[in-house]
Amino acid sequence: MPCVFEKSVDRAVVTVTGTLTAGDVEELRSLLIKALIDADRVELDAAKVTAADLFSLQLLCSAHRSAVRLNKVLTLAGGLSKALKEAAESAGYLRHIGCRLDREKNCLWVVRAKGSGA
Amino acid sequence: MSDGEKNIDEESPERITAALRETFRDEAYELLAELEAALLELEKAPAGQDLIDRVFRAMHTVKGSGAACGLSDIAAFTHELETFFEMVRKGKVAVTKELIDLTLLARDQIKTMFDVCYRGGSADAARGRDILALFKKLHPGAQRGGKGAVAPSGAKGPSLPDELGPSVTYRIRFRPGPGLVEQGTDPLSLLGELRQLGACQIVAQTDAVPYLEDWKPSECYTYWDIVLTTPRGRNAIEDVFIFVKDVSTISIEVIDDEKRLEDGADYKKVGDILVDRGDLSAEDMQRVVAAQKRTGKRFGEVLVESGLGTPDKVESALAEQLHIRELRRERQTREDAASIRVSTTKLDSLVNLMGELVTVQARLSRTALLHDVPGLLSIAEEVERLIAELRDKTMSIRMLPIGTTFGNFRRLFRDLSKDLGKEVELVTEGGETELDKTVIERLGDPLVHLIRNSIDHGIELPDVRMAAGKPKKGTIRLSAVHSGAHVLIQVRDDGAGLDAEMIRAKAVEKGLVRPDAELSESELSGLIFAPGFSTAKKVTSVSGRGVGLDVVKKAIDALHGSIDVSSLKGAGTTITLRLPLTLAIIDGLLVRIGEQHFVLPLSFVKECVELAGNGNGNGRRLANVRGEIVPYVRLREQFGIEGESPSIEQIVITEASGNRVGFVVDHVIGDNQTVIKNLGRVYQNVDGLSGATILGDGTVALILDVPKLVQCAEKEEADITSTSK
Repeated sequence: MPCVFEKSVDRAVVTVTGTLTAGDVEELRSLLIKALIDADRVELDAAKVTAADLFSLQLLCSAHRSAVRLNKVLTLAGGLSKALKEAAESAGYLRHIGCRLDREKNCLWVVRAKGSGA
Repeated sequence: MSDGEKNIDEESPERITAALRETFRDEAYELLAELEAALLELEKAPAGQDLIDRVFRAMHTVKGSGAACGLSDIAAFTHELETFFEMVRKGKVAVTKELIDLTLLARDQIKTMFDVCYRGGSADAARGRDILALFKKLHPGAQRGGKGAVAPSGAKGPSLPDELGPSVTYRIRFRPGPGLVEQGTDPLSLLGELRQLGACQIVAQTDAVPYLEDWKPSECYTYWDIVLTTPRGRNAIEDVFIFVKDVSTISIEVIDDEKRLEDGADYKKVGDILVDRGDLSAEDMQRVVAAQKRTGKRFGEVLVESGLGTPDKVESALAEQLHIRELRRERQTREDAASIRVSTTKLDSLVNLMGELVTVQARLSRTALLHDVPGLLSIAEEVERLIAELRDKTMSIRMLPIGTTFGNFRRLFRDLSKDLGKEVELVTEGGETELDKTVIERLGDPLVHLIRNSIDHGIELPDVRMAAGKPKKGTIRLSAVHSGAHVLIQVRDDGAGLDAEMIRAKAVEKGLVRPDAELSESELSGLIFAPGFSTAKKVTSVSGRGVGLDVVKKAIDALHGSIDVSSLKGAGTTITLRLPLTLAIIDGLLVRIGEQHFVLPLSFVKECVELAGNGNGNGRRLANVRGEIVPYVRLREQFGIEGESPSIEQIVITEASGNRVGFVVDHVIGDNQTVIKNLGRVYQNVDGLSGATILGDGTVALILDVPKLVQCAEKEEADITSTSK
């Protein structure tokens, strides 16, 4: 699971590709913490994630909550990859309304397309 | 064999399966018809989620019922299709023409498999495998367990409903404890197993997911609210959790079963669901309801804003509400349409008995009149009233909407249009019109001929249509409407219309008419139903062999119906079939000639008048009815009945195919409930008679074939006119 951290003037971009399952999540967690400390806007590019599981979903959820608590913005660049979407669907994560902390209305699991709800 | 052995044998699994299979017979073909109809509609509206669901439901029922009846081949084949359509349902596979073509092929294969089961023969198993291979080629990800499949790894294989009970809906809360992941269980595999049990709504509750600094990999922070509808019972659910129950908190409760429809299709409100689940106290719910009334906002919004509930909990309660409402709506629709299947043999026997009863009732009424026993006449009248009602009810059992027959033509349309390179749309109207089952069954073939003919000869090729300023796509309207005791069925196309000159030339060439014959528009159009008549320049696999339309005529005649054709060159052709509602009992007009009785179907009778004089000269028989000249036929002469006519005769004026013809009889007796009996083989081909009936005094009355007699009268009239010129 190659993870890349890039920092620009106004944002930090964390790019993750390949497999993102239980064995890979710790590295990404460290990068996300770093990104949230360094920048007000963090973009997570997970569009090329090819395998995901419950643990990666929990990590993304935790990152989003942490960003909200710090008054920072975490968004997904390129949306959910096919693997992430399938994992989210299997785990019942996809939903119509975001959690209580989703004040910016950018919950990672909210789907608006018909029939794709959890 | 002893009685005991016999009982055991009757209850043996084989016997039960065979009985189930027999019960499933009609439903099986109905499901296939539904599958085909849904697919054809889906082809028109590929984005229709409802249609995709309809296709899926039909497949699912074929699979489930097939498995329950021991038709494991069909269940297995359909399971593969269902798996594929699950992907379509989830938007992972697009609905394309190729997919519809292939699914229709698969549907045909299932039909062949049903045919083998019910009608004998053999199914080509290799063909089934080929079709499935084509599906997999269409979307390789659809292979079960393959890349892109929905079921997570470790999920159980497809489960066919082998121990089915009634469908029950369970509310499950699954909260994994810390030990679950440690023991190496993936919670998602358990969710996958639940999905295999039936329709399932799973909502993850994420409120326990911590911030990043407290977050530990390989810890399960999520718990789930699940609503599952399954016929497999609570044990099957408990089996899923059997290895994790010690390290998880699991609650399973029944929230809906087949019996819970007292409140209609509605279900609990979101607040009640949350209270039921223990996610909200009753007092808090009252507070939220009060705030909701004040603000006008939705319950869920107020709940979240007040901090008394989380969006996750609202989401999950809404999912439960939606799931149960949809389930109950489906169940109510099913219950509204509840019916029992009765074999047609039993139904026919009931109708026959009804016929006998009508005859006996006529005898009773007659006897009551003759003997004038006090009180008997009023009883006879009461019996007559009840029997008339019973007759109508009995006949209505045999009535079926013609829509199903119309629906069967959609596939024919699709395939024929494709074969002939034409674009044709089928529009149906009046599908709810009911006709006797026998009439409907015998109407299928004639309608197929008419439709084939309209597509082949009527509708022009797209470029020809466009050159003529017509829409590229042709339209054929198939409609049915009640008209008294008849049903009018129309096949109307907006094609080229009939070419009167070509029809005349062909008729002359075939020797059907003389070159100098003067033919009305209706007579000319009617020639297309003559045996061997075809104006098609070339013979196609569809039509043009000159067989077909004369077959239609014969079939409609046999149904005591008539055909009318109207056409405008360049604008289209309308063929109207007029059919009796039923073939078993009709309202008739009883007449007498000498000692013989005849019945004229009342639907053709317009009025009865006295015959004044004996018609005019030149051998022509014409009556003046309030200024209108009506030709008449002397039934005494027509049927060679001996004896003298009375001094005052009656003319029964009838109308068939728009022509009025009178029939001269000695006496008009009155209306008669006519139970139609078929004529014996010897009399079956006698022109002008369509059947017989038994009267109250036991004598036989012949039923007149009015359209045929009108036709004969017209021909005779035409011959006389032509001779006198």
